[in-house]
Amino acid sequence: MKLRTIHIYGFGKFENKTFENFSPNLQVIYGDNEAGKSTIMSFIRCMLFGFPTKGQSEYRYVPKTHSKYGGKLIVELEDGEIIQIERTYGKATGDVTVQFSDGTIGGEETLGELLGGLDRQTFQNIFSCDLTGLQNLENINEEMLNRYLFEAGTTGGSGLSHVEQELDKKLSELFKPSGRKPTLNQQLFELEKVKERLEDWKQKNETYNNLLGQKGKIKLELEELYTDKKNYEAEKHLLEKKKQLLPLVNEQKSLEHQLKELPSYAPFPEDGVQRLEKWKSQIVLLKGEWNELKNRCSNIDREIEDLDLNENLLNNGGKVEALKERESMVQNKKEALRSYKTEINTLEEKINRSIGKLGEEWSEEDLLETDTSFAAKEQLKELLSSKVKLEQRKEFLDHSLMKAREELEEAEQEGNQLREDLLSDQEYSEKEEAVQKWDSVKNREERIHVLTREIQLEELNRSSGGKKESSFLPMYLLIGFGVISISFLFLSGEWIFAAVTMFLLVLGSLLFYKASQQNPSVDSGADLKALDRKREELTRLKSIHHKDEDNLEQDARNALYLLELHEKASFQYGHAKERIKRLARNYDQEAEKYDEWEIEYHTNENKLMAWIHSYRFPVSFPSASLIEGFELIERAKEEIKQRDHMIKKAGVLEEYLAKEENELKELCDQFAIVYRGTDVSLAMLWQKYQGELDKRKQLEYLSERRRDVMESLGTVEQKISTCQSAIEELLDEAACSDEDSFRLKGNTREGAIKLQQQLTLIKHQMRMSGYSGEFIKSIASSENQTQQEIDLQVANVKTKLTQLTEREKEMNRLAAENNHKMESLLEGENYVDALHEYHQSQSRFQQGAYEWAVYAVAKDMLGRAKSNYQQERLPIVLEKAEEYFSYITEGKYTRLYQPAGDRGFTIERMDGIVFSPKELSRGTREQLYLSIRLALAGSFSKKYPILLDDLLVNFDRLRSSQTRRLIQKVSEEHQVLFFTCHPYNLDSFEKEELLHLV
Amino acid sequence: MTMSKLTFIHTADLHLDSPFKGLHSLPSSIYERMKESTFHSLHNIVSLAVEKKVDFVLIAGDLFHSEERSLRAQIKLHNELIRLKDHHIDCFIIHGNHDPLDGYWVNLEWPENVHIFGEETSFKPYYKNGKLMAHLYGFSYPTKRVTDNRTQEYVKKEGPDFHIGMLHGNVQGASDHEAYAPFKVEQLLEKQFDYWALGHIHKRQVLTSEPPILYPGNIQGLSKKETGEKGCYLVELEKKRTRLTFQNTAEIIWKKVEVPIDGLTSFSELYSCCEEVIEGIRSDHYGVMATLMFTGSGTMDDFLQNDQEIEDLIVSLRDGEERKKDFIWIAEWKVETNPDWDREELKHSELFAGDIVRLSEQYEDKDIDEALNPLFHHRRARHFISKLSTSEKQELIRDAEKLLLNSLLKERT
Repeated sequence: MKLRTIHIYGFGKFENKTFENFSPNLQVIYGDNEAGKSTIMSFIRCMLFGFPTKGQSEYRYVPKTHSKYGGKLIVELEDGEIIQIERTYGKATGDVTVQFSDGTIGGEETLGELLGGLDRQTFQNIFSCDLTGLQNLENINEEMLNRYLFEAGTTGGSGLSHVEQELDKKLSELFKPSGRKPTLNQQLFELEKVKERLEDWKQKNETYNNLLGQKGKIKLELEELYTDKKNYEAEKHLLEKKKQLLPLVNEQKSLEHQLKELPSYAPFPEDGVQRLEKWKSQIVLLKGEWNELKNRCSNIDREIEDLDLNENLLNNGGKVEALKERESMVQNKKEALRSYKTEINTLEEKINRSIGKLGEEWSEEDLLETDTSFAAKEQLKELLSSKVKLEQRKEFLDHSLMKAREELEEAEQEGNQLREDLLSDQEYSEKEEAVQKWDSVKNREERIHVLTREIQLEELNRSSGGKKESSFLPMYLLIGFGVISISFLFLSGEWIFAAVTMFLLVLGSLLFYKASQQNPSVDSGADLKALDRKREELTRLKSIHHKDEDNLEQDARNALYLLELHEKASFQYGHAKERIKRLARNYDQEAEKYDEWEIEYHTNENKLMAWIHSYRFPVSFPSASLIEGFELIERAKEEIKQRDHMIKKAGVLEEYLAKEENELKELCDQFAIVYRGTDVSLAMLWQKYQGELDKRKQLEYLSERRRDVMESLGTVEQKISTCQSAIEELLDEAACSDEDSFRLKGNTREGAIKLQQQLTLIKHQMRMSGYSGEFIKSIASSENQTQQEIDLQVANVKTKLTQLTEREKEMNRLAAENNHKMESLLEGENYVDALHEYHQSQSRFQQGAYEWAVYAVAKDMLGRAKSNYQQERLPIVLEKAEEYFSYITEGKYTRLYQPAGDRGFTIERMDGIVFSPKELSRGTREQLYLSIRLALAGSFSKKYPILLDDLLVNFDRLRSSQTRRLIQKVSEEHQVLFFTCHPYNLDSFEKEELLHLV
Repeated sequence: MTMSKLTFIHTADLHLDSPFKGLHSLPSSIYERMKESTFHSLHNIVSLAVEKKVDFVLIAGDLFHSEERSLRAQIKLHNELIRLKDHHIDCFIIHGNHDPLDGYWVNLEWPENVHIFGEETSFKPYYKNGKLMAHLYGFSYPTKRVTDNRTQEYVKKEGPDFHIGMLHGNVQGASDHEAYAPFKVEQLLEKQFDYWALGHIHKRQVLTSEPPILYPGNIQGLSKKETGEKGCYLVELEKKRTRLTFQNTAEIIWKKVEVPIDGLTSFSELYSCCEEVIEGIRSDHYGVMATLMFTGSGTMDDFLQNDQEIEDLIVSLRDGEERKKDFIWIAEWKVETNPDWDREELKHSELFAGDIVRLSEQYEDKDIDEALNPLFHHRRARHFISKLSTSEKQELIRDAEKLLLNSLLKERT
């Protein structure tokens, strides 16, 4: 890769600057300080590896004066293709575009590919260095050197160390020799388990054949056992039959023998012995009974003796019973007596109280003598009630008399008063005159008025014809007036005036009527005359007019008023007088009545006194309490009578009771009972009597029993004799003299019968056993075999059989077990399952193992390749460096040894002395590092441009010119950009190689 | 005189109840079927025999998988032989290296139609309707190891029309199998038999067809290497011509399929491509244990380099298969895509990667042993890891190299 053109859009101090036509070999860039040499170097680095990010320490050269940041490089690749790398400001390290000659475009990735994985650090260390960079090599050790070497050898891809790490990781994930977690370790663990199971199953399978053999053997043995068993069973059966029959046969023989041996046993009555025994036992029983009865009889006799009955008491039983019977009655009587006595006391007290009330002078005799008959009482009551009534009437009479007197006095007073109000006679006539005067005046005026009216009407009638009515008018008026006057007079009590007026009125009216009756007959001429008369009259009347007419009226009025009053008073006065007369008469009557009462009262008093005397009441006795006292006496008399009656009754009772007691006492004495009062003694007597009664009953009962027992004794004795005669009969029948021989004979007969029965039974059993006669005979004939012998034989056979059965059981059990085992082996897919599982697991493990193997081999190969590479390449690089170093120092230093471990390089001088880099002078040291660097750069498969920044400062003239020559030589294969600010460095370079920065 | 003719079935290497290699983490439904698969295949063979009314059945050794044969296997075989007996079909059996006579044997009483050869080579006559039809020759392995050539023991005994040899052994030249009872085809031809019923090699192969000398292969593929249909030969043997018909009887078949990733640009494209491939091999007759080989090159290569990603892909492809009768179960997958780099170029480059390539070419067996020592010779683990074969070792080196180059040369992501 060679740089051809640099185009800066904006970077540091440069803006839109282009440096063209760089030499493909050596390009010297000369400029003073601040001309931009370092800027260009940084620019190249940035173009290739990106702008430093803000976090990095490297200076970013962001333009200060303008905004466009970045630029592009035009580069020639190894194969001669020209490409363009442009990087502008963008995210992080900037936006990069790689443009190929055929127009294809790439980005950061493509650039990375072009740089073959070279990173900024390595580029800076190997290809782009200044003095400080050179010094960095001072501490180089083996590892670092190797790293450079491998980086030089790898083009792209992950770093070697990364690859190694990945391999290690994978390997340890898969397997660790003593691990547990890694995949293969786990699988191995499982695999072993499966394997174990499989082995288990294999083992089991092997047992199958054994089991099969076993099975055959068992079967065979079982068959044998079966046959043996069958034989033994048959034998056992036979023996058992024998055993069963043998005793029967023996028995038969023995029985027959016994029968022969027996003495004679006939004649003998049927069941003779039993019958004898029956009678005998009967007698024994009866004798026992007889004794028992005898015994009982004597007991009863003794008991009767012991009773000791009191006949006397029993004979007096009637009395005792009577006493007992009356006991409650006596008791009642006692009770009654007590209550009588109480009552007597009470009455006595009452009598005393009554006497106390009546007075001390009274005695019981007095009381009894007093007449308290019903008639007396009624008489007293009547007298007393009369007295009361009279007293009441007196009160009434007093009152009426007083009232009459009061009324009379009052009326007299009133009359006097009224008389005073009357006018004197003179006064009265004066007043009457005044009134008459006024009346005449008034009549005249009335006439005037009437005449005026008549005249008017007459005149009117003349013109109209009608005048009847007008002639009546004055009459009417007169009547009206009269009526009014009369009524008025009546009302005011002026009777006389009224009557006068009425008379006048009636008179006037009659006259007037007569006059009017004659009128119609008068013709008009007459009328005119009357009229004129009237007019005359009127005129005359009018002329009579008194001057004092007004005074007259006044006087008349007063007089009239007074007259009225007088009239009224005189009327009242008349009334009053009348009344007084009446009241006076009344008073006299009342006084008369009072006198009558007085006479009546005295008569009554006298009668009462007479009663008291006649009935022996003390005179002092208040009449008001007479009735009460009378009743008291009455009651007291009653009480006395009652008491006396009671005393009499009590006497009767006492007498009776004494009689009873005497009787009781008598009985007690007679039967030796200490008398302790009626109740107790009677009870004791009664008890004793009852006891005797019981004894008598007992005696009767015992006598009865004794009779029964004596009867039973007779019966028993009879039975005994019956039994004895029956026994005699039996003995006779058997021709035996005594009972013993009878019995012996009887027993013998019994035995014979039994034997015969047994014999029959055995014969029957043998018949029923189902064995043939011959078989039975054979047993009977073989007398040598005993029961025990057969038993022994049977026992032997049984033991054999038990053994065989046990064996059979065991064999069957074994067979079952065997079969079960075999079945489980056949059935179980377990072995197959385990087998398949094992192979699955193994396959998986094997596959894992293969995977591991790939990584393991890869790792191994990588390791080997690395060491091969080092061994092959390092010497080449060292040789190159040695060559360069030797050239620069003009052969002063001849050898360069590679670092080992932490030890750095060692250098051998031409004289053979060995130095470490630190021991060299600064310039020489720098020359050494430059040589190594150039050698390393040369070892890279890709020839990146080498940037050298004024490295020759510390070199002497000779060595610097040697260096320049070396650089020139190197640049023939590898483009070198040589930056310098020292003009002397330019001497040895061609003009066209120079770029002068201004 | 009618033309004499024999009809029979030739099978071998039943490996009843044999476990499978390279299978793990199967869903239970498939696992159960795998376990039963050898029995199913045997059952199908017997059914075929019954259906075709064959005269007899030949089983040329390795009826069981190992000397420690499972009881179940023996009983199932027994039951199947009874079935043959019920149909009056004879059965001739020799035992091979996997089920030698000294192995663990249950004393099952074989039915009388079963004829088992003893350890001495002998012949057994076959009568059809009372007529002697054939002599059958053979021997059983007395022990596991029979490594000598036994062909000269086969001596033709004249009589019947047909002579059939039964031999469990390795034809010379077959390298992958252990050299038990080796023989050469010419040696068999010399015997002038009418048919050679071979057993031992699991891969079906007809060595010669005139007369037929052939391996019928095993009856059920037992590992990813035993791909393809498995079963037996139905043989109709006549003097003039012979008809061989292979019949698949396996219910689970191993298959290896390629998934070329060329041109695939996304996960979904890759997924559908896989599905397409899978559906392409689905069959109504059997379930399939598949090995997926990702080949070609393309952008999905990166994806395939990531173990986790690829495993997720496989899991989703497997999803639901366990419920299907005609399942396709991806038992294994292999990324065999072409790398970005040119190996030849690298070999000559001065780069470090070049050193790796150069080194891997010089990498030796002992280096491998050394590198694998911690696990492969681990006290406990070593019992469960079989030794790597030469080819496996080569594969291992390639895989390791690929791993390294991938890491070193792939761009940083």
